[in-house]
Amino acid sequence: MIALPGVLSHATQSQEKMMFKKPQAEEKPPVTTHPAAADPVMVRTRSVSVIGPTLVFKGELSADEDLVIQGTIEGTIAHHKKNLTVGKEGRVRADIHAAAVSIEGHVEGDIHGDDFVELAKSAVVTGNIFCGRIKMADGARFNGSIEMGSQPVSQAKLTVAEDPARDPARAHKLGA
Amino acid sequence: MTRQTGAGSLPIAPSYIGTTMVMKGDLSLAEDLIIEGCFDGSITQGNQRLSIGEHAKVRADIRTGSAIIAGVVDGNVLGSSTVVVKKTARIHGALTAERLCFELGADLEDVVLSGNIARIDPDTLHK
Repeated sequence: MIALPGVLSHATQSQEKMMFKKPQAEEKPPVTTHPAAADPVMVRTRSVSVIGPTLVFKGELSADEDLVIQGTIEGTIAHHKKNLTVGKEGRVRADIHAAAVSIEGHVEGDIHGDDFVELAKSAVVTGNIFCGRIKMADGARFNGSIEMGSQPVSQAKLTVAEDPARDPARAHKLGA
Repeated sequence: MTRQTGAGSLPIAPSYIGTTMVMKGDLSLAEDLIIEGCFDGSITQGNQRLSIGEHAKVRADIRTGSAIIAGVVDGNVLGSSTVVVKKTARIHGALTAERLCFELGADLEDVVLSGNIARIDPDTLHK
């Protein structure tokens, strides 16, 4: 019982000490650091490359990892084994080679999708498409020709905006 | 994770050039950029940040805001703000910035420096 007030007073003292110490700690001048150094955004590693919306690149680009393009690319894109996505803000004036290609933005050039090519409703494509399979959403704008069959015939399949009423064989003929 | 850019109001994640990526040409942008792959050409950036990773190989003249260099750079670097050189960096060219920071052990043998040397806490540098 006697110890209790002592403990309390000790606790009060330590609280008082903390109260006095805290402002001192805050008064320490901040260490000058590089703004990017302490930012985890600039540190983290990712498996998907991203071309941001303000990025403009003219030249050759190749990679062996997934790529998302939201910016502007002019030249050639060789991306043989992985997925490539042209986002809504993406503007590509290039021939594209990739395993799987998804287009939501603008593309001017031939698209070679070894596996499949997908055009979203916001896609605007001028060029020829060479692919194993294709999916084209209602509303997508496409000027060019589609050539299928570069992949094994067993994999070749046409899907037109999930519309079962359409005759795939007829669409295939139109595409060819 | 996204951040606000200085000029725009939309949150923009930094552009990221991955380890397997090879780019040859001219690049310009107004957002943060991380390079972990190979780049050959020129890089023109606004006042944003550039990070050149440990395994990156960049052969380019670079104009940027602030930068952290941990990889190989063959070319001239012009930073309007701070440029940090990590000890893993290998730079061949001129390094010009308002503030230059070097991690202990950084190889500066082939570097022409121009700017104010600033002190930086090594603990705050990203690994």
